[in-house]
Amino acid sequence: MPKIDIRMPQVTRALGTVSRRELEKLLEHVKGEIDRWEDDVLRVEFNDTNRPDLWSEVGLVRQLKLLRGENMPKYSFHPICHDDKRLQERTINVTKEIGNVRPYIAACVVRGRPIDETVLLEIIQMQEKLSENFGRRRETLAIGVYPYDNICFPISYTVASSTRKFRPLDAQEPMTLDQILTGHPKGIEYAHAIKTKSGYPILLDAKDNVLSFPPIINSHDMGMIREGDKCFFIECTGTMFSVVHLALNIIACNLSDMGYTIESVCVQMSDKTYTTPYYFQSEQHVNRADISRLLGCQLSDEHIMRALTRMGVPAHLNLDTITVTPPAYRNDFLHGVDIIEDIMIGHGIDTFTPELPSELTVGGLSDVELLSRELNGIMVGLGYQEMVFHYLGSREDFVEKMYPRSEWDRVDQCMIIIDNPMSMNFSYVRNSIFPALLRAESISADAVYPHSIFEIGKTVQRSLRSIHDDWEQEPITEDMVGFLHASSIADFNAVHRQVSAILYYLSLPYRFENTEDPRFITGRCALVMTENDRYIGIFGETHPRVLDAWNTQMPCTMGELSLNVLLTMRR
Amino acid sequence: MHPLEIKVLRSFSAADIITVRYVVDTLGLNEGQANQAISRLITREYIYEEGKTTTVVYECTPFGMKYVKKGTVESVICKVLSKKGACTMSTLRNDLSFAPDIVGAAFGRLVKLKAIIVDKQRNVRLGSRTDVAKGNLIDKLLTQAKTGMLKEESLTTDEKEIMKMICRKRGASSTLFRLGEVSYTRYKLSAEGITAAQKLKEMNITGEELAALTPELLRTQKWQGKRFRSYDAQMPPVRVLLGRTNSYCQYLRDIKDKLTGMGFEEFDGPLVETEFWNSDALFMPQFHSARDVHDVYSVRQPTHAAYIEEPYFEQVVRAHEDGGDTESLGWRYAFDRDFAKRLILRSQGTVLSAKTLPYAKIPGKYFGVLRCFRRDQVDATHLCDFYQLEGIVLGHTVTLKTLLGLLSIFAKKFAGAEEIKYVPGYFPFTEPSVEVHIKHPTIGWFELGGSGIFRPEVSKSLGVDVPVLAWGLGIDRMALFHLGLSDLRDLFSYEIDTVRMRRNRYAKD
Repeated sequence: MPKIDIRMPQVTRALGTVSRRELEKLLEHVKGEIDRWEDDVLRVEFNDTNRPDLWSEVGLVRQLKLLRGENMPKYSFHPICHDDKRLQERTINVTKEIGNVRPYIAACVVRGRPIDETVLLEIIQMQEKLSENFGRRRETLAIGVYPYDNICFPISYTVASSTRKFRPLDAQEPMTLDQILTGHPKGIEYAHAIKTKSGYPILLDAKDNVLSFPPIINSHDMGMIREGDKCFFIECTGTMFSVVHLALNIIACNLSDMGYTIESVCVQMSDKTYTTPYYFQSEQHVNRADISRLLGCQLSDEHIMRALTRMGVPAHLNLDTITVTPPAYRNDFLHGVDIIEDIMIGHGIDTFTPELPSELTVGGLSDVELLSRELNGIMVGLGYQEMVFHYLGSREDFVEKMYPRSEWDRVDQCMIIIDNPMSMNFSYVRNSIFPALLRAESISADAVYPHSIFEIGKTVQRSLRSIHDDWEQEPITEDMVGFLHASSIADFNAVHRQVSAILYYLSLPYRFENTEDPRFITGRCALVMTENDRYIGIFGETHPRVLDAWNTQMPCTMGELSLNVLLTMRR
Repeated sequence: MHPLEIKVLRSFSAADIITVRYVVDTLGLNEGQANQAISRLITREYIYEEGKTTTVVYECTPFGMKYVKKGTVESVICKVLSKKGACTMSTLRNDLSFAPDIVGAAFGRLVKLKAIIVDKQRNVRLGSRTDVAKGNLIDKLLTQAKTGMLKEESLTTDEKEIMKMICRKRGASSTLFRLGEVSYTRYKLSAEGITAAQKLKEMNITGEELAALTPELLRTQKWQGKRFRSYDAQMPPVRVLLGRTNSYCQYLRDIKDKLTGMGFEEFDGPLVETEFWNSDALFMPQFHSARDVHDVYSVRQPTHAAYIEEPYFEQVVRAHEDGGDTESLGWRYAFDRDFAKRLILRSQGTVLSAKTLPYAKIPGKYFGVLRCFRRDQVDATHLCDFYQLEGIVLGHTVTLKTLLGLLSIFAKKFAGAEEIKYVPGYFPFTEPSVEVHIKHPTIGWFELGGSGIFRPEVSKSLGVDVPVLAWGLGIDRMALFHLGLSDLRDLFSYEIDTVRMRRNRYAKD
């Protein structure tokens, strides 16, 4: 979630003195929270990822002023007069080749008072928050700022070979694009944003000077902004049309609010020409009936219009339909419900009185939960302590400590392995409860014996591909009860009679069958089967090799039963 | 007090010297019981150690043991002589089946004791009756020593004299007795002991009280007129190990019960999900930052699901691309169907809310307590596998106000909230969205959970055309408060004793 820094004097200048409580209340309207407030700097955290217009001091102050009842600002650069002579001179030609790489660009020229440090910092914050959060670390959006006067139009937005050279910011010498990606700090940081190898995006002016290598870095010669510059060129590039244009609109509106004049640029694409900043949004509608249906009350026309005005959304009412024209800096009206939410917030969420549902529904627990509770009662009656464990673990715990080395690769085939683990400790999904029970036993040697523990929880079984299937079936989540008893007298007879007791009280027919399993002592392990030979579970005396691997000096019996199989038997 | 202690305490007065042997002899206890009673009385400081006495003792050797039954050579000689009367040495020797050196040694001792007399003609005859009795004393001593050591102090002068003759300190292989030393500790009653004994007498407690009521006592009516030993209720009892439910699981079960009581049905589902159900069906665009490879665990094998149920797959794809039939503009990008089939571990419980929609009743209420997985660094406030509580309410008449009403019930019923605050929230799948913050009696303000009304892009694509209230509560944090814990990792503790000792409700002690 983006966090932005606001200078309190700017807020006070716009709103007058506000208390912390008042500010918190106002910020709730924009889904923001005070993260930190030190001296004059307020850090606000935003939850809404669809309102990047708020991620700057100017943007936030604009919205707060609107909430306080100020009029909506008007921005003169939408729409544009196409006969502007200077505009025709200021063209960016987008070549076909860039279309597969990073197809969209939008730009404008900003003119006004010489920029000072505070303006520069504000521009940098805007640029960073937009490209980092909204632009997914520059993948879908990157922003470049250049001194205007050096640029010779028309600019060309195209692809360059990896060997093209220029001197990037923060470098002493010219570097090739490949060198930048592997050797320049920004290149290393943002290399992930370049997906294709067929050519790298490049921005060149009419004299073939490199302006920048989007989305990585600007040229040192053409793209360094200094305090005192009065006129500069801003461009946004990216992979999504709406993201690129929205970002430029936000920047243009913000700089306009800061007192700068925004001049348009002509973007010449192979099939179409855009004058940017470009108002690309369309109107959105909502039915009055839908408003009452969702909010649970009839709001008057006046209330609706006032709420939308507070949110800064121009709207008009036509019969039963409300039509809004999204501000140039917003693109979060995908559906009528988005208008309804703005009405809710603008009207004040506190004005809606809580009500209880009026329709009767019949509640109930799932079959698995009901069986779990039944089993839980039996296990507790047998003296077992219920546990709750993690479902993720390591190969060491789930495979290596449980099976002899010769079996590890085979067992791996039955496990769900995480492809992108953060730590090897959480890189496998369990397919049995035994490892967790043994882990508990292994760290509890100093707890008074006997130890009797159980867990009812989920495991995931990988279904192995049959010869006839092209596709491996999806992994199966299985509910299981697993139990372990550790004491100096733990033996097969004890667990044998306990499993019999469990199944007796579940009123299900079953049979036992001797089996061999490397986790158990040979001759002291049995399968629990249904009458028609379906596997229900397994139990026995834990193999000393396993106990050794877990560093346990106490004999253990353990068992596991599948709740899902038990449930199918009941049906 | 144990009956043995009572008996011992009551049997002695302040002046008495108490030893284990003395207790054994006077109270008819065995040595183990006597030791036990004395050590307990020492612990209570009712008696104290006054000093130690060392005594010389005689112990029967294995050699001596052989003669216990058949009698010593000495006694055999006397027997033969009393039967035959006087006889010559050689006749006597022929009549005995012992080795000559053994006969010689015994003969020597008998002569020394005057039990037999050898006259000048080398005839042997018995001595006076009293002296013969002396000769037979060895047998008597052997029989006594068979069951325990003989204390020197308890021997008669005659016996002492005989012992001197037949005993060697080192105990050569052919001696009957071995000489040794044994220490006895002497105890005396302390002032507290005297008072306690006095009290026992006053209360008429003798130590003869019945320890347990047995079936035998009941059958024979022997309990009649008897008293039973009393117990001290203030003594800390021994710990009991019992089968128990887990306090966290019990909390989750209580929540489930409350929800079913409000008419909610429970849902459940697989841990391995597709990107489709985990995110696409919830209208999270495929380019959304929360869908980064850094946040969600993906599965190595198999990588993809074979298919996704239609018509929901196609309807969701269209909702993303151009809104489809949901009256939405959609996210307007090229949806990647292959990516949607990718298998992952579910990262949010809302998956199951979405999956329930195609089959949901209207009106209907559903919930689930669901294990979810996030690619997070594990610490006190983050786990990479944890529970979420999620639910939905469908109906023609449910609205934002109903949502607020439900949230207020949850806040009061589940978390004991004193005050409730609703704040606009943001979730990709709900619009409007509401966060609920509550003031907890001890913790203060915190966020209880998030909620909203499902976007039509979600509900309509999954076949539902009525408003769907969706909510999720931070169940693990609520459980921490309930159990008085502060670290999420403690909820999933592997330490058996920690879990066994934890109570189902936080108790200050």
